Amino acid sequence: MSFSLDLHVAERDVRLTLAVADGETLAILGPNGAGKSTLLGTIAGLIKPDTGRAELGGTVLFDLPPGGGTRQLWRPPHQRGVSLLAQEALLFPHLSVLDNVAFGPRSAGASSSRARQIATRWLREVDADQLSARRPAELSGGQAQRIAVARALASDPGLLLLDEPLAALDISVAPAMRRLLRRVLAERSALIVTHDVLDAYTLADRVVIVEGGRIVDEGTPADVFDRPRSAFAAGLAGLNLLTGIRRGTTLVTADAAATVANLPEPGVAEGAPLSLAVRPAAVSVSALPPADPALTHVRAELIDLEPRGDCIRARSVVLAADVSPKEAAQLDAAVGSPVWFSFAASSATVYPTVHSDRTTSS
Amino acid sequence: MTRTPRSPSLVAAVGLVALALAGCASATPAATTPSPSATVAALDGDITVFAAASLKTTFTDLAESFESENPGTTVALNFAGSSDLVTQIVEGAPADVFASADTKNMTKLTDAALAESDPVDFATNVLEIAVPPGNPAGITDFASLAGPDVKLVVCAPEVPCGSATAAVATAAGITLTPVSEESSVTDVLGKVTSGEADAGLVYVTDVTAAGDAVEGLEFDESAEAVNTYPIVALQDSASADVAQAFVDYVAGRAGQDVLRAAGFGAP
Amino acid sequence: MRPSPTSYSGVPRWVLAIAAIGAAFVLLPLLAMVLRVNWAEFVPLISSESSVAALLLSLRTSLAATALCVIFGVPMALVLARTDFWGQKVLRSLVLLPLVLPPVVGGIALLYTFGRRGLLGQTFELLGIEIAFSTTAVVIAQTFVALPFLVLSLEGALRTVGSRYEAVGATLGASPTTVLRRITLPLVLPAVLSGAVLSFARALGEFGATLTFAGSLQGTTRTLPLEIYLQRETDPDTAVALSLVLVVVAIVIVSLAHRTGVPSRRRTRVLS
Repeated sequence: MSFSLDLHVAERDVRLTLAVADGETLAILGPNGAGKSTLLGTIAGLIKPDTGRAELGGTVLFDLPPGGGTRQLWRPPHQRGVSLLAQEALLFPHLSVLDNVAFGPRSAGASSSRARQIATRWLREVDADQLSARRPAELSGGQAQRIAVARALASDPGLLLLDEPLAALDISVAPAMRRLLRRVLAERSALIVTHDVLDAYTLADRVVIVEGGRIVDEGTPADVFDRPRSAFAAGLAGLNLLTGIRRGTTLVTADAAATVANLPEPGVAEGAPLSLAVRPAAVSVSALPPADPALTHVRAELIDLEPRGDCIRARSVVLAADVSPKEAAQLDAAVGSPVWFSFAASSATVYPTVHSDRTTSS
Repeated sequence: MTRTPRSPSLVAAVGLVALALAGCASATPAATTPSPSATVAALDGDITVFAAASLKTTFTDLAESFESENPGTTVALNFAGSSDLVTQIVEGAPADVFASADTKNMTKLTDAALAESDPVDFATNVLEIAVPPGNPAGITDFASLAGPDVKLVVCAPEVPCGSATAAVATAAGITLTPVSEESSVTDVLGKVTSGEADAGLVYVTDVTAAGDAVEGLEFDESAEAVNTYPIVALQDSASADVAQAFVDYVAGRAGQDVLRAAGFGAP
Repeated sequence: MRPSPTSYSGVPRWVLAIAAIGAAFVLLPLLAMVLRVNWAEFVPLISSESSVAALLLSLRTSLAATALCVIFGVPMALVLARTDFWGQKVLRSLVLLPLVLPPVVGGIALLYTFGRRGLLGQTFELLGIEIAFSTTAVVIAQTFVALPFLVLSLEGALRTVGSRYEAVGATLGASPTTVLRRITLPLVLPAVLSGAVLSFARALGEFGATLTFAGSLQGTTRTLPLEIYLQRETDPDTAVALSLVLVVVAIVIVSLAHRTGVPSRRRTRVLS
């Protein structure tokens, strides 16, 4: 079913508009406190916004016009056909796995045996039918989350909401769960809140970035992450992001903190706003100016060297670069002084900062 | 029902003592009769008197007047059901005087050899019918208490007023069917004053004390069960002379006047 | 999960000493009473007609009162724990009032409500319902004093469990009644049971309100505590024997409450 939402919650300073097409999965990413859980809560019917309207497959879930009035409608959660899957599985502790999954169909009026049939089918779908007689206390985290997926789907919701479903799982278990979700979400309308870019790439058709209670970017995962518009999105994507204005072959950052020399073909007019994204792994750091003058480079103070697994991240205010331990050792003396960050033009993506057809923030 | 004095000579003797008391306003103690331990010196000491609940108003007055007549003495009072009091005394409670609502409980005390001397009967009490003001159930006599729609409340047979009720009913040849058998006469009276009961069987003294809260109906059969109240000083009293003086006071003219005014009969 | 004997409990020794004194304070009177029982006459005393009548009446009325406590107490606890409205704190204090009120005062209040001249009493009398001096009055008095026990213990349990499961149930399509029936009540069932058992114990021992409100008649309103009170006047041996019966019943009940109130905790076995 297709879904549309228009929302305003003054208390949490949230104001958003979004839409999900039939069968589409929309990923919502944003820093903590951005309002993502509030969003899911209002759609599920657990939090009441000040004003707003949501519609699912032609049925109005709620309609709260500004200024009140007789048109006010608030459908209670059990009549919305919206299922919510949270970080914690929240399986009913006093029911068996099978009865947990059968809960939705039973509540909808199915007979006990029919409900169990449906439950068994969904348990097979998530590869958990051998667990049907167990109690939730006897399950591992990954198993419980699988069953929670089956339970949410067994009630045949028009819209499935997922609130960071993989966040509480062990790293070893998450990939299998992600593949499962990919499979079951394929034909279904779903909204998934996540911190993980991999989830967005794997599961979502479109992505929305929410910051400070507003939508700041929207598009396909490739759009949003290859060409990030905000520091947050760039951070999620693991990219350096430089924004500023074009001056000839250089990019001057907003506070004139840095000048990027030897820009690749910018594609924007002189003086127009410009963004440049480059992976840290593609950036090299040296205490002396780069040997090849044609490289795109920036001179900035080296703030710190951070160990990250088997490579070291050399950070400055504007850029970060991943260097090998050997290089890091050589750079150690240069911490606190200006160094040169350089990269090949082909490794960077340069794009205009304002894209009129991408953002729908209000 | 009329009450006749049982012992004219005692009345005369008490009358003489009253005259003597009236004449001596100073602190000289009255020579009480007939008492084996008559003292001439001023009474001094504190005593504790355990008295049955139905003696509350009268004994409070008597204690006050005794104290004012005998400065230097203090009378502390403890009121409760007679059997409760006996139990406490037997278990070692510090009492100097015991006044019981019936002879049965006093016997428990004397059997335990705790009395200083022989108990003295100082009052009697008979039953009276108590009805709420206006007599809503139209009770006329004892027989009407057995009426089918009458909500009658009485004392349980285990307590003195209850055994009196049983004796009266047997003598009158009437079977009572009460809706409640209370453990204390205060509770019976309470049910009548609150209007829950159509009638209750309580003591004459209770009706007098309740004033306008109830109406009383005397009945002839009450003479079949007369409750006798004895009083005695207890052994091992720290102020044995004061204790005995109080006993004599209660049995004497002053005490009898107060008791009679409250509705008690002569011993 | 009980601490194992080898693990560190952290309780200072002087605390243990004070706890022992407190325990003795409660146990010694019981011991004193047990020593006074006339064991030779025990069985005849407690099986006399009046004793048996009193015990059966007590059990019947306490069970009825407990049922009423559950029927009214569960909704009250739900409203207090799960809703939010102006004046809720005051309402909670008033509902828990019977806990601190002297039972005799409670009896007087009931009399003013249900008595012949009471607030509702006249209406009842017109309808032909007699409450005073009836077994119904005993049940009312017992319910009045025992209700707060159930409400209090259940409200605490409801708050602890939280309402997340109910929210999930709602999103799965369960109406509020279904949520109550299939999720809330099963989850707090141990608290309902232990609250009911406590209410039963309180109702069984109820004396002051019954005495003031219901009266005392064998088989109709003379419950076991009232019988003991009466037997004190003439037959202390019976009174002590019946008191022991009441104590034993109370101990059995309280141990039941402790067992049902602690839910069995299953360990989560981590599986592949």
